[in-house]
Amino acid sequence: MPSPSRRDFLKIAAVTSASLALSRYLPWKQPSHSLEGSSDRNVIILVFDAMSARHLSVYGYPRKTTPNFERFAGRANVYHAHYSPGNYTVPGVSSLLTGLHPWTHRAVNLSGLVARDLADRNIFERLDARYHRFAFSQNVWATNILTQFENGIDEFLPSSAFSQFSMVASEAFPNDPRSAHQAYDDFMFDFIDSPASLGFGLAERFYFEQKKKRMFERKYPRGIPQPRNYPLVYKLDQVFDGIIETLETLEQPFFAYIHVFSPHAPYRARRDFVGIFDNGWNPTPKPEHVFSEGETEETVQKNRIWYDEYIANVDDEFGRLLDSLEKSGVLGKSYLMVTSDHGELIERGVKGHVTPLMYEPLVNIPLLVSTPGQVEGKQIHTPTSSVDILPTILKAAGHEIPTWVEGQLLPEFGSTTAEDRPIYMMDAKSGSSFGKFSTATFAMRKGKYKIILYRGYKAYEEDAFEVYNLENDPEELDDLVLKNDPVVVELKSELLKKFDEVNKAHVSA
Amino acid sequence: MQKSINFRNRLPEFPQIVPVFAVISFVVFGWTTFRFAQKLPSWLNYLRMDEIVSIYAYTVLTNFVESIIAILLLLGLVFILPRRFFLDRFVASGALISFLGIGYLIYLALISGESKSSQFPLEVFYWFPIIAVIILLIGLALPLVHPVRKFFEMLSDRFTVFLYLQIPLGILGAIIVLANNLF
Repeated sequence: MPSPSRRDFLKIAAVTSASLALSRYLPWKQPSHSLEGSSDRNVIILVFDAMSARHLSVYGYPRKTTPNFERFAGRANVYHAHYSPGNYTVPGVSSLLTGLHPWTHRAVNLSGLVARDLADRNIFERLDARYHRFAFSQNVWATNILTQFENGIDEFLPSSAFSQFSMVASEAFPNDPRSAHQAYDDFMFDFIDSPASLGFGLAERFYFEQKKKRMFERKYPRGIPQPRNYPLVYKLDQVFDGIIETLETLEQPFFAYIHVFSPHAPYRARRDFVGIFDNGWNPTPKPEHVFSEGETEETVQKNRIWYDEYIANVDDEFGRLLDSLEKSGVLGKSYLMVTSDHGELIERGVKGHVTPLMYEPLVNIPLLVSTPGQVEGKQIHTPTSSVDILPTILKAAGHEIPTWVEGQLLPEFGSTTAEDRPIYMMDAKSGSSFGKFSTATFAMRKGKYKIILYRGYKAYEEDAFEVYNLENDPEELDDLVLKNDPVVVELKSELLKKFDEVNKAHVSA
Repeated sequence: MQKSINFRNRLPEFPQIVPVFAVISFVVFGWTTFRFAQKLPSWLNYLRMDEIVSIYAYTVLTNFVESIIAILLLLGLVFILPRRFFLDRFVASGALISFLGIGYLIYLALISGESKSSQFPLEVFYWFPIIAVIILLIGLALPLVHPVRKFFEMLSDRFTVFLYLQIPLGILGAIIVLANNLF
């Protein structure tokens, strides 16, 4: 066979170049929201800690908490039935970043970690070096998990970045952050229990409390925002200034994981948001649960207002970020995913999220995704999970999705997800992450139904179930188990089968 | 002509320092060990043994440094105060001040653990200087009573045996922390 001449070579080169140039305009190449092959686009995951979808007006909440989310929804895909697989930070963030369910990644305890043998299964490691991989979390527990993934992170800011002042001790140990975190932040200088260090621990606590006393009390009448557990205080606008500046200066294309602590408790809105919902409207009171923490209805209602005000404050800052990203052109070149790690439950005698309960306000979290150049919003009601984010991003970057991933592509991004695909959530914070889960809450959303299993709790003598029809009963007040609804038997059987299947001791990969 | 300060005459002998250091070290280590025992069951739920050992290394190193700072503070006091106030009864007074002082710190730690950040009782901490002076006065005065003095001398002497455990642990902790942070 004769070898190609110089003329043949030029012809082939010209045809190939033209094909490549034209191919992006061909309809079959890129469906409207397909992410495939778009590795030159930035990806931003913006996580607001403890933000319940049930408290956002973009999802129909009667209080106007999120006008800027609503503005963003006009150009984004809005997922109405999006769930966190866990009801607090550690499992929620771990699932989001690994694409694995809690029963697989095993980060199920309050200060837990992803199983060490699975720590390389994360979004940072899977995105190659074409992306500048950036991570920042104000939540120290999430930062602790991110340190497990730091081999794949090009730029990693400490939790104290953009804060007013911080005394997070583990940040002084960049080569051994996890041991230092457990030893100092969670033990010797403990802010929840008595500090184990009588010298440095008490001195730190006194100095921190003294210094933050009356700090910006005119701007923040309920106190300056801070994580409850750690010595770090921040002004929300200052944090967003830092985020805006960072996103505008990151080397492109970038992947950025940004985790803002607000609106997590303590709810400390800026002065101009305090009192904006004192208009007499209150949600319907709900009966106390067996896992009630004894919060009175008055406390519950007051805290709901404070939480909603704080969300409105966060939304205001989000609006500023959105404007800035739009103006700088970053938004037009980026996939922006706005979500949370878990929700918040302020009802049934409970205030917060350290609870075995799995009601919608606690696990139904926001997810809004805008694609580069998207100009119209879309409402998606198919149930989805945080484990779906990793495969969706990998597809965006033109990467193969590994077989170990437990999530699916999000609807509108090439997914063939069925409407009744089961979505799972679990809580097992009080047991071992190495063995079988003996005390756990396990829940499943399937179609319009949700079933919750409580296993191993002293409050129940045997397995206890709750089943709700979320279409007719979105407030989860009408337990179908009590009505002997025929659907209960089928759902129970499916949930127990799944729980038995996944409830195994962890075996190293 | 200025009179030079004779450090030897103003500070206790090494054999006198050891039992007081032993008391400080024992109580400081003891409190941390108590909290460690409380925390251990939850750590076992999600940390491997090597990770727990690493945490323990940080804690013993910190306790060791805290104990050294505490004994240096006491030596500073001995140096400042007239000889007959403290130095003549250093072991008994030092041990008593250490017990009372660290006991007060344990009380503050318990109060801290019970309070929410938004209601932290700063006012309790404001009493610290007054309480410290009271503890100092008690610590200096009580050993004037001979049986009290003998009792605390005997007690602090008994505590020295724990140094055979605490000092090697502190050094081992330092080595592990250094290794974790350098390599």
